[in-house]
Amino acid sequence: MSAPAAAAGGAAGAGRYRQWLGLAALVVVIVLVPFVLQGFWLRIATGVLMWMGLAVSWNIIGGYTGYVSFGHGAFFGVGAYTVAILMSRFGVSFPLALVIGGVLGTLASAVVGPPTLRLQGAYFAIATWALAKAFEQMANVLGITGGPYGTSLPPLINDHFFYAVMAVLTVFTAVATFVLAERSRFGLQIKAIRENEASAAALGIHTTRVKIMAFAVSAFFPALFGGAYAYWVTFINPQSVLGDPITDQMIIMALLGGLGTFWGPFLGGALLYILKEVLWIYWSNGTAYLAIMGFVICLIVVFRPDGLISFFQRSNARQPGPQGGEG
Amino acid sequence: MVESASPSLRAEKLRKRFGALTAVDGVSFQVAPGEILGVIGPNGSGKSTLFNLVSGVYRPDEGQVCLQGKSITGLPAFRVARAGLCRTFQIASPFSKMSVWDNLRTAASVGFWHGHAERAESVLALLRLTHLRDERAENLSGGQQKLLELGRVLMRDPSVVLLDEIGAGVNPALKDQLAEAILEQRRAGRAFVVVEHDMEFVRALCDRVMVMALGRVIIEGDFDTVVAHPEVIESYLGMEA
Repeated sequence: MSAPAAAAGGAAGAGRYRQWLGLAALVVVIVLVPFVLQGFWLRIATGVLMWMGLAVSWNIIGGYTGYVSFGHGAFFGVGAYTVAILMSRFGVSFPLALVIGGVLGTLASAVVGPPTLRLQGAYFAIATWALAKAFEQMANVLGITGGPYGTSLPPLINDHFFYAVMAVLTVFTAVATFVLAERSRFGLQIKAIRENEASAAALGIHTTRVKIMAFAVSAFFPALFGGAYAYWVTFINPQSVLGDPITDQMIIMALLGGLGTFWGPFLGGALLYILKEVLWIYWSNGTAYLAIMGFVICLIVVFRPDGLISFFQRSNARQPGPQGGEG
Repeated sequence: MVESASPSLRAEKLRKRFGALTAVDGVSFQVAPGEILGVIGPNGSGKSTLFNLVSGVYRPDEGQVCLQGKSITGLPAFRVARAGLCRTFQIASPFSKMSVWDNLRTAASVGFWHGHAERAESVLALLRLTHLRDERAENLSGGQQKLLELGRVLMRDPSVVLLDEIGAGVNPALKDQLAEAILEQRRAGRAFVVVEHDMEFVRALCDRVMVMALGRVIIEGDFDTVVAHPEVIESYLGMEA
């Protein structure tokens, strides 16, 4: 290997090492939080974990693959209703219900993925939004879901338990996403599809199959989080687990943090959720906190279009080589 | 050029219509292993559509395409690529946000993963892009992006390569580099079909030239013969010989 190549390889190796170190640091922080925070703030931390995980999951299809899905709330809802129905009506244990919820969410994505992923851009976004609406309406009319009156789950008041559940799910989501999107051929292929689908196909990549796989993977985790959320809040209805805000927040968090980056959605998820909760505490009687959040989001989109993570990334400005400026 | 060998690529009577327009009208050609076939013609003559038919972007209305004796007619682009025919695009289309290295790795990700790192190193060396290995593709000059596109194609070790205006907008130094790389690859038995407007580039590179106009082949032969043909002069330069 030539000297420049060796140096470049060394830099790539150092980058890989830093990424794993970052993941390890995240796990350490997650483990330490319950020793520091209690009560209300532990519940806030539980919410932070859930939203970080949801933003990271959505980023697989929306950020890495470049297909902006407005339907991911549907998979969250499938997981939530699966756990709620299995636990309240059939007495299934939480862990088993959670796994079944994840599987059903993935199956739902595998069914709707093939037709919708043949569309691109705004057409795909609209199709997935319509999908989420269809799921919401189904939950409103089906008897087993409790319709608009919702479903209650067996109550469990244990902040530490739900923090632990969300922590495990978030770490699982983070590691799986890291390996799949950053350290595998699959990751290269989904990024290639985002950059130029025709070129990716011209290199032998079965783009439709890869997109369906990305869609399914990114639907699996929200279904798990939906199931955990349902048990945590003990009552769900179509609006709370299938409404637009679920998907909208996933998208905004990923966008604010940095689309298509690994750490961006963690940052966006944590900051936006904390900002939302803190503002809500101080302005809970009005809607001022929504206006402030909207303003902050506008500022970030205008002045930091690559997301907040770009504050921490090295500048990748052009460094002309020997054949530098023209060509 | 190896005339006697069985063709790497053979297209027979390809036809493609878009509404009332016949973009490619009964075009046949073949290219032997190690041969470089140039395709020239004025804008709108059907060259890029021909590439799209052969590479699986479009399905031909009529005709057949055979790669190494096997029909690839109507196969989707990813299957054509897996069969051993790869192409570049008229407008360079690297994976912009990915590094040069990851562009090459992506090309090898289906079917050519084993030993990809060593192959990527040799492709970078061949194209003199080693110093840009970790640079984002979007930061490369237009010419370097064309080199990278050729590099991606070479990562797949194809038997036939279609180059769509690979030299367009490339400075003379890089163009020489491109030509060197192509000639070296042809010595390994790879066949090339090159759509190009730069006549000097075509003269220096191609064993044979096929001239198209209005979706048809006007003439085929060596460079000096075809450019002297009255019909070529008329259709290409818009004047009578």
